[in-house]
Amino acid sequence: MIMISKPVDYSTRNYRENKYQFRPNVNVLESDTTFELQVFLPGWDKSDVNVTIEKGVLTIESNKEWTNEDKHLWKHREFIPKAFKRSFLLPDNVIEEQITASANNGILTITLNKRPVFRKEVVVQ
Amino acid sequence: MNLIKASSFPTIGVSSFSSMIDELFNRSLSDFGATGNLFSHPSVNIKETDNSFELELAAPGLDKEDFKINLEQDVLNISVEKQQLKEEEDKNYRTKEFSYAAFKRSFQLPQNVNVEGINANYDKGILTLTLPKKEQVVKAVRQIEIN
Repeated sequence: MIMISKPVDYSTRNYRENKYQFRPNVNVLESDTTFELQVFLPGWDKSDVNVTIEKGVLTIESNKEWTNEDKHLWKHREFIPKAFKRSFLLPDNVIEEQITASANNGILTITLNKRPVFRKEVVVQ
Repeated sequence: MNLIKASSFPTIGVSSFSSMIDELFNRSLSDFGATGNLFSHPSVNIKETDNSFELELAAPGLDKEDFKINLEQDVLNISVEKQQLKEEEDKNYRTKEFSYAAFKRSFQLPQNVNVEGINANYDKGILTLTLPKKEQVVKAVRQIEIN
């Protein structure tokens, strides 16, 4: 059995198949009790983004259509928002029922609580 | 957010709206040095309409008070240095694909920008600067009589 110790990027296939042209950046932080995923989404509304969990895989996606009517007005572009889908395989110690998400100033933060480590001391009689 | 006119501010690698010399030249020294890294360089989009230029800088996770925007001659500087975020970076990052705790980008403005009318707004992680154009003096067509 492979033990994974942090959320693992699982979205390679989506991007290899060229289904999505935009891939938001993600930071993963770990503390003793939690993992925190910070997803870089400037310009998105929280209603445009879906976070789902299925069979231990967390998926963050948006199918928002970005209009390109004012294409002729752009003089310079480094950042082009598009529909995306990123998935993460979660470690076994994440409590799936306790996953929460919040959006603030263009960053979507997903908090994953870890199951406390089982400890028991056996006293020698 | 105030627009401050800086007296002397070192500008390294200025990019011009018209020439768009970018990326490598546009990075400030701190991006390469010890304090920054290549992630700490927010993306910029520039749009031009008949009456204005609009500059969008994608820098999520900040507060509007964090931005310093100043103008020196015709060079517009946008910078952020956030100590608190820097300390946060000492936290246990397992994967890190972005960080905007400190950066600086500079732009050379075209001559037709009305610098007094520049304004800035921060929403959903995007800093939008509106740079109105000076009203062009439209020269009336003058008919020249042929004698």
